[in-house]
Amino acid sequence: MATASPAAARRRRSIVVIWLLALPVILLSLGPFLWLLKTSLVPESRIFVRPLEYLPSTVTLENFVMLFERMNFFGYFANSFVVALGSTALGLIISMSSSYAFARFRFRGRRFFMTLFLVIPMFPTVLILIPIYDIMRVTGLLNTYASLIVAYSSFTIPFAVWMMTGYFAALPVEMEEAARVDGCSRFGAFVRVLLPTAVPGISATALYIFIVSWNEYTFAAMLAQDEAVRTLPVALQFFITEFTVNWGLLAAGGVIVSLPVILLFIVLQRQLIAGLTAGAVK
Amino acid sequence: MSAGATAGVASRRTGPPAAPVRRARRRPRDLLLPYLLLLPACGIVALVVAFPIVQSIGYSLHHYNLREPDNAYFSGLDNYIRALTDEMFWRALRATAIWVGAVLPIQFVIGMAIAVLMNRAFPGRLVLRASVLLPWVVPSAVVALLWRWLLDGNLGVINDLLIRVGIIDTGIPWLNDPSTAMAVVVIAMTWHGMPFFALMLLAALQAVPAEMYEAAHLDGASALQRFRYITWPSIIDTIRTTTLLRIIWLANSIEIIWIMTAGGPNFATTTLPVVTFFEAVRGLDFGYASAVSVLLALILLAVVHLYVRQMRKDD
Repeated sequence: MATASPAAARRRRSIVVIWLLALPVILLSLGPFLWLLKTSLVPESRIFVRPLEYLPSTVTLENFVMLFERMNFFGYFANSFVVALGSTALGLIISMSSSYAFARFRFRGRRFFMTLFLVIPMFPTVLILIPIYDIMRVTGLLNTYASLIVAYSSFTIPFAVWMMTGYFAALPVEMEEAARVDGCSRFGAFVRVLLPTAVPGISATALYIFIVSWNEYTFAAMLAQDEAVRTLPVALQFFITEFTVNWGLLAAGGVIVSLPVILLFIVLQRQLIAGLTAGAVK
Repeated sequence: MSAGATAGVASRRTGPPAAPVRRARRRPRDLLLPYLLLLPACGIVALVVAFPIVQSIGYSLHHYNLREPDNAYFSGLDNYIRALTDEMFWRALRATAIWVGAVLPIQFVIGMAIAVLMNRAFPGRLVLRASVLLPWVVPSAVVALLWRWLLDGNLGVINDLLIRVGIIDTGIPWLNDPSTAMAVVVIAMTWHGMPFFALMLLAALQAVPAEMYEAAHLDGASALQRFRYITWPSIIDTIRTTTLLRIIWLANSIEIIWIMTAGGPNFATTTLPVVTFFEAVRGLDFGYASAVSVLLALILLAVVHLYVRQMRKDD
């Protein structure tokens, strides 16, 4: 393999150059989070040690234990989970029929409606935040999961509609037509033919909505301040104001909040590629 | 990760037009069907977006404080006059411009560099891709916490590094100093958002046909010339759209600033959305907060309008 030919040498040299450029990028991307991870894993006393320890001399899970035993972090975790899952379900169910309409019909106003869904997320959150707060207040939904799930649909639905329209449109219509010639209803063809083939695209959309809802802060801070329904990002913000000096605990909180979405994102990456290639096969 | 930004991602993917369903035109039931199918999404969007926007405009014309919700009355343009004559509003507008004007170019340059790097095939490329995307996935609240910690005056690692290298002698309380606080939130936001630019530009770069580069190479074009005459014209549209989406998204963003500085110290990082959030959450002055958010929307609309017009002129 390793011959001394000039071409191979040049190639090896260019790989070295690329890695020399890639390393700072990787360091910049991962470094800050790794530092948070490191902080969360050392005992509180070691954080104040001078000079700073760049590699931990002792590793402990005490910060995480404290977080879950004393801080009701399980409760916040469950709240975030319910809200993110609910938003995903609502977003997908509500958006699916619209995506189908955009992908499979030509109708008057199609462009207008598609543009509408594109423009909606561009409105400032603060513009709709206050009236939504008032709607929830008047209907008695403040401090419920429902208030967040409904509020999040203001950005999950436009996104899901666009994303799934793309996936549906990329799938060949012939299979559905064949199913309908065989006596399948339009709805039957949608459920039995289109949906199964669009699963990669739909799951990519679902994972994406889940991540965005999991991470959302602004609506949650306004609509669900109550301890019983507080989600992780808001809980973390409360923590920051309460325990300013307890950095080990804060860092552990930050790691816990991020971990599920980081894990999900690894899955999402694969799903996204699968969804795209599924659409490309014709 | 904003919804506004992602809509752009999605729109790029909608390229292939939907295959029209034959015979659809014949039956009246099928003519109505697409509209019925749009109903659920349009209904919810009307409830949580359209109605609130109208409502916001209504609130902005009222004296309406949640501390005394029964004492709400029509007050004409009072809230707007109060905003426009308040020095705070203009300071916040300036802060918003600085915030967008600083984050955007830095994110663009770093994102571009990363995209060019990721576009090369080399062993270990997947490691680079996965690492580069991490800052994007980390929740904003964690990004804010993270950078507060890194830039902490006493225990922050960045002060420690700068002292070791010899750039500074003692730790700087970056977040507590009005002259550095803006730079700090800009850094945090840049870190959080640069993968988005990288991804969009990478997608654009990968769409440039390889044959064009080969042809140019045979013709003896230099790397710089290849970039100038092949790469740049191919990706300029993506750059324009991505930049526009970013401007909107940045001008609307609250979370990083709110959690890191809450607009302080001494209002140095108070952008317009932060003013609104502050007035709504702390002051419960819904009328005034609505007026400021309507003004923000109008300013953004004007910016988008100018931007799109300039884009058309360039073509």
